[in-house]
Amino acid sequence: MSLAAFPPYGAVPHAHVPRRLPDRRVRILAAGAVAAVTAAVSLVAVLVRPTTQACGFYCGPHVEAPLRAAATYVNSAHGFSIDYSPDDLQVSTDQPDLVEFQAVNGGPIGFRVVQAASLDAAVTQAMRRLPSSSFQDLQEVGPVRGAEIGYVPGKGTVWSATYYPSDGGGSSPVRIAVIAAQSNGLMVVSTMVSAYDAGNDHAPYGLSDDNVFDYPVSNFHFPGSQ
Amino acid sequence: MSDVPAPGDAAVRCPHCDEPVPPGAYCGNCGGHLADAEAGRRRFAYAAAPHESVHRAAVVSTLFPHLPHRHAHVFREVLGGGVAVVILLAALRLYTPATIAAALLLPVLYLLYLYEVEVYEHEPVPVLAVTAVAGVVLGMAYSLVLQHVSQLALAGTGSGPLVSGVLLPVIAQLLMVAGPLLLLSRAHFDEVLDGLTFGVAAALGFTLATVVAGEWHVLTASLRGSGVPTDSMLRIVRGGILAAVVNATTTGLITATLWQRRHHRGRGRHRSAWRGLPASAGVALVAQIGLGLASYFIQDLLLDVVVWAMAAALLLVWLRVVLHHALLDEGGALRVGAPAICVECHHVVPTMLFCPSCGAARSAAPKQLHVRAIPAPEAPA
Repeated sequence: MSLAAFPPYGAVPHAHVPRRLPDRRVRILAAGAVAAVTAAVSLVAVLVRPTTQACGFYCGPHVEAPLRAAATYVNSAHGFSIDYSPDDLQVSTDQPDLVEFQAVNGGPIGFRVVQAASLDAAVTQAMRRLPSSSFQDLQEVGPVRGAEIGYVPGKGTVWSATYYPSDGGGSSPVRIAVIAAQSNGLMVVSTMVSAYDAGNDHAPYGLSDDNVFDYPVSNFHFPGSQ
Repeated sequence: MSDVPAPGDAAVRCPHCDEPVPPGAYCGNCGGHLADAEAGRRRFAYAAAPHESVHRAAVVSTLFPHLPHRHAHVFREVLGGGVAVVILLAALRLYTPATIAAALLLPVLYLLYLYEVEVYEHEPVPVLAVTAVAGVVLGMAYSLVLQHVSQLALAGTGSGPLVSGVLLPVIAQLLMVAGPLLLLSRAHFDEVLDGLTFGVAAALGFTLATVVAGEWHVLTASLRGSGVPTDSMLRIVRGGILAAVVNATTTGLITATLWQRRHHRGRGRHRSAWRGLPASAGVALVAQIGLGLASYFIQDLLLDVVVWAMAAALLLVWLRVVLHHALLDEGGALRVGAPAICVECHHVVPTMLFCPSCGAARSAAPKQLHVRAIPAPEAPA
């Protein structure tokens, strides 16, 4: 609809309509405010960045509480079993090909039965399975030396990542360790996610829940290996 | 104000409200299109920005409805430029500045908008305190509590779909509405757009706080991050910009209809159960729950961002439909005032509820100008 169709109503120049903020000032104020606050918060964030301190010579031995109770998870579909401590871990997912434990005060560890061309391929598959919406900034830290599941030698890799929970909780730095091993025709991949602990020599690869994960990984029993 | 125009004043009878009104494209009393008896709802001309259709997913003319369109383009440019800068910073892996800039972009623009259109009238401090500042405080508290509840999990959250997808989004929505409720009883903040503005301001403050508190780890990491920039870019756009638009829209929807219901300024000509408070609150909560469940079940970030963008667009259109009909409905008895300048089209028109020339609702003009009309300039001698 053309406004010019109604000549009785004459138009006035734009200058007659008052404004508190001229266009140029809006641009300057918006850009200036965003830039200034961004710079200020970035500066504060950089200044308060937590520093890591290697433990080294000054740290005493890491004393763990003794294992108070033991339970065994048995997978009837594939015939494997896992010993774990119910004080530290709880079964959160139980499916024919997958069992996940959740550390009481920490991260998850999952064991998944997979079919892959090689152990390396199984590790890669496991990483791809992680939701990209929650695990970001993935960076490979390096191989897991002496990787094994149930004392069966395998292959493993550790990644660093930032975890963004899909429930909107705060982001946090995590380490992800993935180990694959095969025995008696069964290939299993274990995926462990833990909060990143940079200042503790007793947290290999920075996995703060390593001592909790170690027990079920070591006490994984492939079928026929009881 | 003068009397109703007499037949001799070249008045025309509006086919929609049946009142004698000054000639023009639109009825100055009901806003209906005078030339088309079927266009009482004029869906082709949004009441706050008549040059735009009602069914258009526009951020600025929906969330900043008091801005005249000749001024709105600057806000649109700054918003577009800001999004481009955020994407550029993320592409350069400068995640800390990108995150902060994304979180600040809409709140800063909204503060400039509030100053420009003086929605707060003579009470800037109390209004900002119970809207934007209260939103920041509640958002910070919500985020800090959530960080202690949230659990690390392979699937992306340790909480089940009921908590992640239903409970938390509903709590967040209620917190965003809480601040503006303190202004509901103020008699001089009685317009639908007052409610919208307060709701949007509170939601933007809340979203800003949740982004900064929730991403504090990222902010305090190395200034130049690692990982795939595309992932971080998508995450920043979703968390800082799309979430702000969604939260502002759902909260504005609730507060606008709450104001409409509380202050009874409508004439009942465009009333519909679909656009009332229960329906709007239902749409807002369903949207928040739907997006909460989508974020829970969709594990691919790109798909998640697409879902959020589509939801933001649909919510903007829904809000515009509600605002459009509320603006057409607002008003009282027919009054025709002295000629004044319409801030939307800059024509000198009789002061009425709607501009007879462009159809803009007068209550969508900047607050200081629709309370005190701009007198027409003196004709040269």
